[in-house]
Amino acid sequence: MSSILRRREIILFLTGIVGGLMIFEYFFAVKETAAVSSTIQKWAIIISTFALGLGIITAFRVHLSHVKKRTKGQWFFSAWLMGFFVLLTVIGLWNTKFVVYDWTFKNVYVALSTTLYAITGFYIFSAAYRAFRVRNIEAAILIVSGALILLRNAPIGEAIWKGFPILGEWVLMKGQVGGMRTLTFVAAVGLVAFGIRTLLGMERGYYGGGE
Amino acid sequence: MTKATYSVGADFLAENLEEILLITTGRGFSFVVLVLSFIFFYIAIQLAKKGKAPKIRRMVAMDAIDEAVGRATEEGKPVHYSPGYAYMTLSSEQGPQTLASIGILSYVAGLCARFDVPIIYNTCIADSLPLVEETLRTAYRNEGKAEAFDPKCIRYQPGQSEYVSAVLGTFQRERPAVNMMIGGLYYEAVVIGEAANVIGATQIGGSANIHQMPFIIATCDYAMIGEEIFAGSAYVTKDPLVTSGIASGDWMKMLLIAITVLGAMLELSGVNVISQLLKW
Repeated sequence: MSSILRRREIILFLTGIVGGLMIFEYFFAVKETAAVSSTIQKWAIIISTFALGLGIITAFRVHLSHVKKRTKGQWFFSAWLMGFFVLLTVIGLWNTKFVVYDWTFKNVYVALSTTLYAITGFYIFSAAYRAFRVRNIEAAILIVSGALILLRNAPIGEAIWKGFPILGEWVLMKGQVGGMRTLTFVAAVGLVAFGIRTLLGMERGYYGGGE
Repeated sequence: MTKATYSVGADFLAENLEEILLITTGRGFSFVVLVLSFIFFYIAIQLAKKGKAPKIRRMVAMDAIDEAVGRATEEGKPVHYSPGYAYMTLSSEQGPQTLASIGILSYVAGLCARFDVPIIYNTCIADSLPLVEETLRTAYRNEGKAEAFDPKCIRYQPGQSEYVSAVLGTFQRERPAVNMMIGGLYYEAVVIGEAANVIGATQIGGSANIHQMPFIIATCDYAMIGEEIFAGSAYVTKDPLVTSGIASGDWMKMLLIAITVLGAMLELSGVNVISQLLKW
């Protein structure tokens, strides 16, 4: 049964039917197709929710293996993660207002997430150091533009010379807009071409190589 | 943009055929573009079948994949692959980027299987897991090494920060020789990119998210920007029938650029026919 469901023709057929229906519903206003499209979108949400359970199984499979093998430098963290997950699931199912659940989420999870996001600033700094080395004319234009934006945003820019914010504003609102729009434009056309290849079954990678 | 709904009974059809055939207001030009894209695609395929496949330019980042996996083979270290945050679902607007990334993963996994290089796949996109597992399994099977595939190389983390910290931990513990991050990348682009630079990994990155492109270019050895990630999985097939589809996209681009230039010139001379057409 499973081998039949994995047949290439079935995957292509379903992709073509669902994709074609969605395109039709977007361009043409027909009540019946709108209803079918809405139902399919609800299915997608339900499948995504089930996939979360699959994700947890995948994560447990990896971490359980580490615990079993006592992987050096890893197994203890895996055991801690699984234990913590089980504890919060049990408490969460019982009562999400319970003090341990609430406190752990606000003071551990949120704090850790915020900290990780905050360190991005340091990574941007080191990436900028790498990018802003003047090796050719393009890199020189990049560093001058970057400096102008910096002087536009920082109050010291205006204090040094009142023209810096004006120049920075020009780079931000006009100078770079053409380039950014070009990238958006080509990405959109590339996406359409990718969609057509997918609908016609010429994109083989997304369902496992197509062999 | 208005969108009325209709019923399609036979009587209703007879009375309102003209109205039903009307496309939703504001989407007419998009529909024409889509139809033209299909026509260009068909022409490109027909040319390829006659042995006159349109030429496409070389994609340096895709060509670098072979070299990067070769380096991992020599060093005896794993290859790390990651599709980015992409709103953690295939159902978001980032979904196509994840699918395109899985298409490229198929090629990378095939190379890894051929040269016996371990591959590590970190993700936070739960609904992509069955696709990824099937893609990797098929890639190993196609190389005749089905038994070498270990599903535990797929590591799932249920959130963006968890995913980023898991990747950083993977880099420190397992020191991959290659890092590939291709897909709907967000702030992880700069964090993962810089962390991979610290361990000296060769990097190939790509995203259609324009706000992350500067970080990809700054941190990666090879970058795919704009539509390149969508073309990547077709490019690696080297199949003229598939790559001709990329060329048809380029024809569409040329047509739209011509319309844009013409529209700008007409608008400057007070004729707004193109801008009205775009609003159709």
